[in-house]
Amino acid sequence: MRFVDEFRDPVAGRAAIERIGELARAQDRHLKFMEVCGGHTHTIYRHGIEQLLPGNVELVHGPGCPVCVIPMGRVDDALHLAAQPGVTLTSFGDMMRVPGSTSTLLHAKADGADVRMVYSPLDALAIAQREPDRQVVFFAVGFETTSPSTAVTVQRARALGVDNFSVFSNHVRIVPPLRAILEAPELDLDGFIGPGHVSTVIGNRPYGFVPEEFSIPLVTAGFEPLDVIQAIEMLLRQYAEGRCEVENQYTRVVRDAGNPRAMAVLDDVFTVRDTFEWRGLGWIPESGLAISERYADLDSERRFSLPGERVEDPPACECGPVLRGVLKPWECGVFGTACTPETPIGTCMVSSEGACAAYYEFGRLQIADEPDPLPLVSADRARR
Amino acid sequence: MSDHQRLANDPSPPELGLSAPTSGPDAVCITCADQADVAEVVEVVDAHTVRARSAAGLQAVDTTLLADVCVGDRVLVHAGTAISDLPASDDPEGTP
Repeated sequence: MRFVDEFRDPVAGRAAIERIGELARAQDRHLKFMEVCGGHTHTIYRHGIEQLLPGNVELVHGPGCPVCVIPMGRVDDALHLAAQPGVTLTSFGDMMRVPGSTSTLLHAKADGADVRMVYSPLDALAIAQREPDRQVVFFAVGFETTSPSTAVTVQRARALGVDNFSVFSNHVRIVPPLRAILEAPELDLDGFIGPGHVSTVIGNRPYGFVPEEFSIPLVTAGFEPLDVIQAIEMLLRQYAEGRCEVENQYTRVVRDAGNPRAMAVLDDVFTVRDTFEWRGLGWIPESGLAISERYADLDSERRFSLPGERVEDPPACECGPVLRGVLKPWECGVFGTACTPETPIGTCMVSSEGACAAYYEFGRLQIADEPDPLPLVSADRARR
Repeated sequence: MSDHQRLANDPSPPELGLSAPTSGPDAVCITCADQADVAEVVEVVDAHTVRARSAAGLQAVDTTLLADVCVGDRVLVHAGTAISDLPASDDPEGTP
């Protein structure tokens, strides 16, 4: 299949790994690269890429899982909305299982609340049109990959005059947390594997500050195993050639300017919040998106009264350090015991993009003394 | 089977003729997971909707964010919305 098979080619993968080995040997030091996006984390674990890398190349996992970074207080707000008479709360699948301080949306549904899973915000709008006696709220989460879809839906609701629909926006931006990570003293990074699908919308230009201000290269990458491997090779090649810049491995999808239409729709519907709380990262300036004044009547935060209380993470949960890349999933005390994908304590164990869930699913395999001769497809087979 | 997989495999009819997020042993919520699927446009329904075929099956896709989408075009779909178009299948750009 075009755009899939050629990016899982074991021969090309082995050749790239050999080149990475040569480039890494020429660097007489340890190199730490952060993959920003949870999709990359999933690919790295699923295909065993981490085990193929030279010893002096380490991958650390970043904050790019949209579910993982939602703080408990916002989940509590969603639960409060779901408990209101006449309200239908809609959300994406993984959000149904994210724990608030007392419950989850899935449990609220089991207790009788009208909570429905949707694939697209447009589905939520369709429910509102079909059931005009219900107040339909869309619990919106996600980075710039997802926020354009919400924005299109808000515009459509206005155009159609659907007044029983509103959006509880928890959309976030990718660039502010990158800056927050780089400014934190605890993580000494040597490069970023930049987010692929977010970059289809915002382009590569917003990442310019990474090499310019922090002297660290960034390579935007796709999500197939060869995409990630090639991005690592490109980072190492920049070091070998004395370059430090933003590069684009995902050229089949990402353009430098992104998608200007999508950015215009975002500017129309959303406004940047002064600050927004991220699980594990705290309050980050200008990192969240609220519904703009122009669409205030479609904003759940103005239509309903919300508790808006900040809730501390459970003491046993170490999602924060995991999201900042300073702790590996298996170093958390409750990983795989009290916290599993079936009964998650922290958000990193909920979404498949979460580092803990990805490692639990694919990384617990006993590593053989010799690498699998076809490592690019090995994890699925071994899991059966 | 986990709650997660049960959700992903929910057989209830999706809205707008959209396919369920995914199914099978790798079931994940592709929207939460920030994933996007490549889909080929098979029918232009109206000014902002097409029907497109991906590995998950046929689905209705909103194309508000793209210009001039035609039958045969390949688009990147996330949350029921096309967020980018892709080069033609014989375009070597992006091949490793």
